[in-house]
Amino acid sequence: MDEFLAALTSIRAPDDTRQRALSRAGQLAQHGLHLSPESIDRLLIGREGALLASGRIELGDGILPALINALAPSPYLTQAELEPTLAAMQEAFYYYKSALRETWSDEALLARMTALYNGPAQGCIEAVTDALEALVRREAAQ
Amino acid sequence: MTDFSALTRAAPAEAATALWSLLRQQAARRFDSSSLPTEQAQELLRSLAYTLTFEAEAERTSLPALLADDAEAALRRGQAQLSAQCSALRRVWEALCADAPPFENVYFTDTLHSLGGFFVRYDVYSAAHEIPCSIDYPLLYPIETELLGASFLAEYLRRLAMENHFLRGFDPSECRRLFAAVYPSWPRELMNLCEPPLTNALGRTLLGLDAHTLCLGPAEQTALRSLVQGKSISALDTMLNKALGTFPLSAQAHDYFRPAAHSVAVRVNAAIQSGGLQHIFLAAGA
Repeated sequence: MDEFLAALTSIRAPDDTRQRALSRAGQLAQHGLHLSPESIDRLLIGREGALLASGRIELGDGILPALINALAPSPYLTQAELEPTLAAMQEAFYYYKSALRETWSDEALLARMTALYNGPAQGCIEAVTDALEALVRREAAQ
Repeated sequence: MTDFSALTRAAPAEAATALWSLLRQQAARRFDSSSLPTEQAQELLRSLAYTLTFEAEAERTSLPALLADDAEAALRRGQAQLSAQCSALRRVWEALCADAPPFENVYFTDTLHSLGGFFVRYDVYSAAHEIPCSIDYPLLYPIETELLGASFLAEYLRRLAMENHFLRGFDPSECRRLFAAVYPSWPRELMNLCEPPLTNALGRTLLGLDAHTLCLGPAEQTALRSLVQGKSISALDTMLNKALGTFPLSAQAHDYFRPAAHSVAVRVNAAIQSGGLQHIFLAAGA
């Protein structure tokens, strides 16, 4: 990252992702799930790692609040798997945003991932990423 | 403007926050995404910073002041200004093409042609700071590297117009002979076409000869040597500036060519001490 962007990143507007994520986490209760503030903090730390690994910079709230919203009603999401699933899906989201060469909007990619998770992957993260890998190969071949 | 970090150091936190919000908003609008690859975010930020700086200069205000008011409106005004600037530059480029000196140097002709690509590919929204065309032809003096986007092109075209206007004052066949004296393969060489005619025209003017002809034969070379022998750089500078002042050019063009005349003074001073002027005032065209 160049000096200008780094300087700007350090003084950017307060990030209210945590607040939004906490707010979404509150809605999990109606689905019998619970995400603690500590879990949110760990997921946000994981987001930084995912962004770094995929060579990206987050300018907005990030995908976590929308991800919680999208996966909460899933019949495959259990309390035990909640945090690891969100962490893995968040990491996959940023990875495939780059792998798909910016051709998919946030909304479209999240919708595809959710559909895969709730559909053919039946809650298996590995199956979701396998399907996304196949998508990357198809798009690259076009 | 290249020192973007100075911008954030100078800008109050509110201005930096406004710039960050603009970056976020533009990423969402242009790329349907709240995150971007780092390189793309950097380029988008450079584009925004250039557009806003351009607008701040147009409005004679500071960037923090511009951002403090209504950053999004300022960005839109900057984009509109840049688009209008591009339309005006396109007309300048078209006039330059229509009235180009008839020299077959590949860098000169290719650059003139390539400049047209700028108007096709220039992206005022996401890459306003870029110069999306190939500019290889070297002007008499290089353009300051801090000039970006349409600002760079405007300055390049302004200088090229002055150089081309100057070149059109001479017989093309005499110019070609002079170019060939510098580089026998001048049509394929990376060279400025203005410098040799300018130097010889200055030499002829020093001798009180018609400067529209570029020939400096053995007799003129000898006369020039006598004229400049023993002169300091300062004295030569004065003589050459006076000679330049007789050329039928605008005040702006006189100012533009003055450093080139000074460079001739320095070279002549060095050449006197090392023996000859024949590598400065070329004998071609005789």
